[in-house]
Amino acid sequence: MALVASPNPQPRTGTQLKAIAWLRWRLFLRAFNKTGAGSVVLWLLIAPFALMIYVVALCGPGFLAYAAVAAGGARLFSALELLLWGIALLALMLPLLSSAAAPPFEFASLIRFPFRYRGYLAMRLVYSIIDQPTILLGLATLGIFSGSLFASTAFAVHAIPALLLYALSCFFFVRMLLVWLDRWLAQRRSREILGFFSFLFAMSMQFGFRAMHNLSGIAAAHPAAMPYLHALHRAARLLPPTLAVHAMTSTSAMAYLGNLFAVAVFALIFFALFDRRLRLEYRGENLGEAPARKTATAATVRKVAAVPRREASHAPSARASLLPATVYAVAVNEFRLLFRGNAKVQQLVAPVLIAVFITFRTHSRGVHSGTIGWMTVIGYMVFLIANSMMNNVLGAEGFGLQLYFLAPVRMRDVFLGKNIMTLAVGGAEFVAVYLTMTLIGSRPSAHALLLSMAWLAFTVPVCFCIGNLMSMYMPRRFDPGAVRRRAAASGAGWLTMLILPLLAGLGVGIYWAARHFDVLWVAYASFAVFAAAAMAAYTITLTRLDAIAEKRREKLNELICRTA
Amino acid sequence: MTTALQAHALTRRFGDFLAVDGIDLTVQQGEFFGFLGPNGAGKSTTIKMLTGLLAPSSGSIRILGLDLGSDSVDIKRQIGVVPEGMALFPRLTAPEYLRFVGRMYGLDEMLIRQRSDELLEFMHLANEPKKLIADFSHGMQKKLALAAAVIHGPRILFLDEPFEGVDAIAAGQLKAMLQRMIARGATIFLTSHVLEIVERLCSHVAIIDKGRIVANGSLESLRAGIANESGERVTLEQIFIRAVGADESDAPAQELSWLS
Repeated sequence: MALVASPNPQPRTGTQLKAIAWLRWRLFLRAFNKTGAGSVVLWLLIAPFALMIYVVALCGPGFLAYAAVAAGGARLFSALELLLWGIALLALMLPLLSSAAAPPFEFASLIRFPFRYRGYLAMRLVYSIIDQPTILLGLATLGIFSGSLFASTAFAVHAIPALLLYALSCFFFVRMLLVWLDRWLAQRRSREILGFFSFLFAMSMQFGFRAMHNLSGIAAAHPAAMPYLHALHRAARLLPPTLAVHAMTSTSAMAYLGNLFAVAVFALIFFALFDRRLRLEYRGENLGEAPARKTATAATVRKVAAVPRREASHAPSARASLLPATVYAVAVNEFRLLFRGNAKVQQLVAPVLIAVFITFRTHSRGVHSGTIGWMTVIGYMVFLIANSMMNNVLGAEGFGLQLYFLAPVRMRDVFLGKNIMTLAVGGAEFVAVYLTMTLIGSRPSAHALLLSMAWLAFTVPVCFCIGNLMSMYMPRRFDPGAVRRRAAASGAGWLTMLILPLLAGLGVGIYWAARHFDVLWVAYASFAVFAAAAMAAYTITLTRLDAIAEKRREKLNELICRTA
Repeated sequence: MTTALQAHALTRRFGDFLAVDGIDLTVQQGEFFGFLGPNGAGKSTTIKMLTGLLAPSSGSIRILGLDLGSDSVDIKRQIGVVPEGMALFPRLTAPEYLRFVGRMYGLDEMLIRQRSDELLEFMHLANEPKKLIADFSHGMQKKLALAAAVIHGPRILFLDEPFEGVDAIAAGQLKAMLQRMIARGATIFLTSHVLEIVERLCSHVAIIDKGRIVANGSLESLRAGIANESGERVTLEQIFIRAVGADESDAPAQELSWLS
C-alpha cells in the first residue's frame, strides 16, 4: 500500500468537475433506489404537475410577449416592463421560497480538495444553471423571445442581446443574493431578522409592481401615497428589467447601446459580488454558529448556582396546563423553535402581509374586500403552514429525535404537541388576518367568516392527518440555518401543492353551489360532515403513529439524524 | 530535519470570541505530533486553519515550505485530512466514496481502484461494498474517513480525533498504519482526548488552552520540566493537568441535590 506516495500530479479542473458530476449523479440515483416503488407512483402523479409548471413558464410569457409585440403602440413598453419585472420577482423569490429538485449539496465541504478557485467558481456556476429556478428563468426568457419572434422577426432579433443580458443579470443577482444570504444567515439572530425583512421586501415588491401599472387607481384611493409611488417608479427605471425593456423598444442606436451597456454593468456588478463571496468561501471563511459561542465564565456558574431549585416535573406552568405533561413539553418546545427559524417567522408574517396587500388592492379598486380576498388569505395561510410546519414535523429535530425513542414518551403525544402548536399559530394568524382586514379594509361578512371557519374545520384535520403521515414516510432533515435548505422533502412539497388546491376547490365548489341555489345551510352542513370525517381520520392516524414510528425507527434516524 | 509545518502568530476570532490567540507551532518532517487541549480550547479551529478549511484572522502558515495563503492547491495535494465531521457523503458506498476522493486528487482510475481495494481490505470494510456510508457504524465511518485521507499518499496527515468511537481492535490497526506512515517519512498531526494514545504514539506534543499554547516540545523535554517527588515517570496526564491548570471556577459550583 502506498502510504506515502511521490507527489501526485496536479489534478485537472475538468477531471474534478467530472468527479463532482458523477457524485451528484450517484446521489440522484440513490434517492430513487432508497425510496421504493411508492416513490415511482408519487412521481407519476406529480410529473404532469411539474411539467405543467415548465409549460406555463415557457408559454405564459410567450403569449403575453406575442400579444404585446403584435399590438405594438403605447402599451408595448408597459406590457414588456410588466413581464420582465414579473420574471425578476419570480427569479428572486423562487430560490428563497420554493424547493429545488436536487438534494442540497454542501459545496464548501469540497474546499479540502486541491481545487483551484476558477474550478470552484465554474462548479458553482454550472450547478446553478441546472437549478430549477434558473431553468424557469431561462424558459420564461425563451418564451418572451419566441412570442416576439412569432409577432415580429425584426423585433425579436433586435431584442436578443437585451434579453440575454437581462437573463444574465437576473441569474447573477440571484446567485449573488443567495451566497451572501448564506453568509449572513450563518448567525441565528440574522436568520430571524431576515425572516421578517425578506417578506417585507417581497410584499413591498408586490406593492411596487402593482403601483407601476395602476397609478390612477391608487391615486384615487390613497392620494398621500402618490409621491412615494412616483419615486419608486422612477427608481425602477434605473434597474435591469426596465433598462432591458428600454433597449428592446428603443429605435435609436445610441439609446439601444446605452441601455444594453447599463444592463451589462448590472450583470458585471452582481457577478463581481458573487465572485467576492465565493473567493472568501474558497479561502475558508467560517459559516458556522461558532461566533456566537462563548465559554461559561465563573460568574455564569455562580449565577446558575444561585437560581432556586425546583423539581422539573412539577413546574407550575405544566401543572396549570390542561394538556398531559409530555404533550405540553413538546408544544412549549415548538413554541421556542418557532422564533428560532426564519422559515417559521415568515409563515407568521406572510398571511398578515398578504391580507394587507389584498385589502389595499381591492380597496383601491373600490371593491368590497369581503369573501374572495378573505378566503384567499385564509387559503394562503393554510398553504404556508402546511408546507413546512405540518409535513415534516420531525425535520428540524436532528439528533434530538433520538430522545423521543429513548424517553418514555408516545409518538402520538409528540405529534399531538406539535399539531397543537401549529393550530395555535394558525388560530393567532386567523385573528390577526381578521383584524388586519377589518381595520384597513372592511369587515368580512359573517358568512365569509363562518364559512372560512367551517372550511378550516375540515381542511386543518386533513392537513394534519396527511402531514403526520408524510412526516413519518417522507422525513427530511431540515437545517433552518441556511438559505434553500428545504423544510420538507420534495415529494411532500408537491403533495401539498396537489392536496391543498383540491381541498380549496372542494370548499369553493360547495360554497358557490350552495349560494347559487340559495341554500347556504347545505354548505355549513357539508363542511360539518367533512370535518367530522376528517377528525375521525386524524384521530385514527394519531393512534397509529407509535406503531409506524416503531416500524420506521431506523429510517427516521437515518434521515433526520444524519449530519451531511 | 526539514520543517513540515510552521505557524506563526496564528489567530482566529469569531466576533468578540478569540478562539486561537496568536499561537506559534513548528512540526518537523517525520514527527508524530500530538495536539492536545480541553474542550473548546481551540484544537479543531487550529487544525481547520492548518488545512485551509478556515481562514485565519491573522498570522501565517507554511506547510512543506509553501505558504498556505498563496499555494493552497499545491499544499492540499500533499496533505490528507480527517476533519472533525469526517466530511463523508452518507448516500455513497465506501468504494464509491474512495473513488470520488481519488478522482478529486487527480489519481488515475487504475491507481484509485488498486489503492481503494487495498485500503478497504486493510480497514475491514471490503465485505460490504454495497452498504451505504449512512448505514455504517461511527467507527466504520472513522476508518473510511482515514482511508480517504491517505488514498493519495499524503506527506502530512491531519487527524482530528481519529480514535473517537473506534473499537480497540480497529484502533490497534489504525495505530499500526499510522506508525508505518511515520516510518516511511510522513508527518502526522493529531488531536485526541485520549492521552494514553497520544503518549504511546507521539514524539512531540503541544497543549492549547483558551486559545494559547501552554506547553510545547518533545515528550521527554516536557517530562523533564516537571519534578516528580515520588520518582515515578511523569505521565502525559500529569503534564496536561499541570499545563492546563485546575481552575476553581471550572469546578462544579455545588453537588447535585437530587443525587444526595
